[in-house]
Amino acid sequence: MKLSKVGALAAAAVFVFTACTSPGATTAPSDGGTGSRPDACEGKTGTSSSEIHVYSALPRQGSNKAQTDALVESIRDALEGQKVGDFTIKYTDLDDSSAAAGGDWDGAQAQANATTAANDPDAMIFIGHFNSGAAKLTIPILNAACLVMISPANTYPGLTKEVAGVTEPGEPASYYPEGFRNYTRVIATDDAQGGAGAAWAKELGATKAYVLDDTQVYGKGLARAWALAAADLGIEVVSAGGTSEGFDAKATDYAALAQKIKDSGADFIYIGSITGQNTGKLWKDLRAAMPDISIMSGDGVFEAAWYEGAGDAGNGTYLTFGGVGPNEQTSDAGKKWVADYRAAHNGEDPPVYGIYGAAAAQVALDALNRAEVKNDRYSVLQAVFATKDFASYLGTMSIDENGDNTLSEATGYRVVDSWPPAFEKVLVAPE
Amino acid sequence: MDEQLLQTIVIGLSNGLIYALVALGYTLVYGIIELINFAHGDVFMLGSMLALTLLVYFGVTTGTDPLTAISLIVLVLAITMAVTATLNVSIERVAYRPLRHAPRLAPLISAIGMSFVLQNVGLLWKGPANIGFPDVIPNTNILTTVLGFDTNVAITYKHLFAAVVTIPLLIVLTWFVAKTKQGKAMRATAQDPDTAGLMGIDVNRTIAITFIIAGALAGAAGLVQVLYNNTTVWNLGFRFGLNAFTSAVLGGIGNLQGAVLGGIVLGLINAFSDRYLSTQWTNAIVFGVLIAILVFRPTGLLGQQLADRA
Repeated sequence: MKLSKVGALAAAAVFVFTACTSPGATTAPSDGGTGSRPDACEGKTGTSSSEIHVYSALPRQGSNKAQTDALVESIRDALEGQKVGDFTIKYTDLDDSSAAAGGDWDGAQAQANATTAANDPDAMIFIGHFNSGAAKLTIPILNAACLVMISPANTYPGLTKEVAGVTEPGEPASYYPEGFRNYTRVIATDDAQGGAGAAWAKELGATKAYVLDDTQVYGKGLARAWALAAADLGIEVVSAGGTSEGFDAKATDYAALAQKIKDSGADFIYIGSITGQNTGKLWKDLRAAMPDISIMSGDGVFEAAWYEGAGDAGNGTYLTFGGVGPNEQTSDAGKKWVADYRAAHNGEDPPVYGIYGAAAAQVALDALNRAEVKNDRYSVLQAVFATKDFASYLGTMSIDENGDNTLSEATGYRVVDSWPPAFEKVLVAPE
Repeated sequence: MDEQLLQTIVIGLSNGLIYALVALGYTLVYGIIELINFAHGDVFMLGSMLALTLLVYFGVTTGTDPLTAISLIVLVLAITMAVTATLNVSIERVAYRPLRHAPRLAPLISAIGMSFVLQNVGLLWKGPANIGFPDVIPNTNILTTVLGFDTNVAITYKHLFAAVVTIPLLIVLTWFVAKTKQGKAMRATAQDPDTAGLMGIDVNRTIAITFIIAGALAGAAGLVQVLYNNTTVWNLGFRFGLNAFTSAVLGGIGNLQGAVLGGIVLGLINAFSDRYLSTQWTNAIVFGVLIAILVFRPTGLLGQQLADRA
């Protein structure tokens, strides 16, 4: 177990290193001319005359399972067996998590998924990942294979753009060694969610905040974005270095950390983390030391598994979502999708990311339908990037040259003694 | 004294006592057969899962009336200890006894193998996510609510619970090893199994009894984990076991008092590092201290006692 982790780390290091040292600017393939076809895309045409393959890679076990069950179901419903031109779509559901990683995403597993798809000549679209940390490792693999990726859930800004104080040096160019973009997403990024969350915290009366993160790509990015925006709004950030402070997800308890936060005089705690990073214990220990403090967190814990782990300690937590939850959808198509989901699941609400999976599949299908050559990866990639004013479940959406979309709304919720949390308001990031 | 410092000491002490509870199991087994029983942490993990399942089954939760809760907890404790004791002695029978006279590496490898087997049992049983349990023992501050002190330092029922469970267990265990006939047999076996056999001690039986005691301790620690830390997960045995094993080595492996002292020292280092540095530095500091202590005192703080003291 240890060794495989070391291996994964080494592999990650090698990837990041090679990516960093590769020359070339990154440009979107929006020009569409055949003359600009990148070298990596030469010969990337399907061999089957009747099938096109679409893969998804999501954490199919552990605390994210409820979310990804809904995602996979919506992708399968939208794509499996659909006809595009002379081809029939065949969809494959891959798992990027492992038991060794506690059911969370596992770098080695994610890379294996990407390699599987890259090596299948008929693979035309890759839907994934759920976690930004996984996408960071696989974008370069798919970039070299000229395969387009559509993420329903990655919110870390650095995958597509540079945000001062939030992203790492060299991002995002380091992920695109071939010099062209192949990654898109149908969800807003965390600079928006973090900013909107900080503005909301200010309204709630926060003056002194302690900011924690799980040290992962997503958690750290979100928490830093929040801390940065909070400081701009005049909230004093008292965690180490005036920015987000990492917590050790493998610790057996956080009583002393909670004491440190209490002693700092903070009146507000912000946590950027995914559920599987020992969040249940973290919330319990924070609440035990500070029964009345306000805690806010992001969409990484916006799921029933987090609340099951935290129990009563989760009550009162403010949760932000870098998108719009199922019950707050405004488009008719979105409302209908939610109603259909409920009808098929004994009236149960879909998990927040469910509709984003459906939207990713919609964008994929639309692009395949528009692609000039349906079993040519570069042609499909261009079609995805050319998505413009597309009427999706999430509303009218375009994909820009970075691969980001034009949606920017975030929403705020509060846990009131049960799951799911109650909707509070639509959030707006400060300018 | 500074209230913040006092509070950190309280947290460190009570966490340390919990580490000590698991460390006792490592040290007992090492003391008698010089085997680092890597599966011990995982027996503890399965004990915590069993205890959690039983507590939920019996309906013990936050609002349960104290008397009912206590009697049910005692019942759960008895069942859990019986099950983990049986499990531990079965492991000894299946994985260690056949290798008793094999080279030393063989039982070590079978212990690691056993640890993986048990982890996977936990994974299959409860899945990969953390499972939470409500605060049956309240986080109420005894100092302010019961004793009426005006202070910011909190000693809660949970802290008290850690002390109430671990300290008597240590006393009973020390008495058992030092004063009873069975304890004498254990010490004799630890010192020289062949001679002990010649003197009429049933060595296999004595070792089996040691595993039964260690297993029962792991079960008790499992219940304490659920009530004190309110959470369990399949790889808890690895995470927690590493701390407990380190405590045992720190105090002098094979030495009962050493395990408790090691646990307390480790708990304090953890708490101080978390409080005054950062949780991310904690492991580096703990193992740095361990290396420093072992360089100057290779047998740990109190020395390897069980084997040489008879």
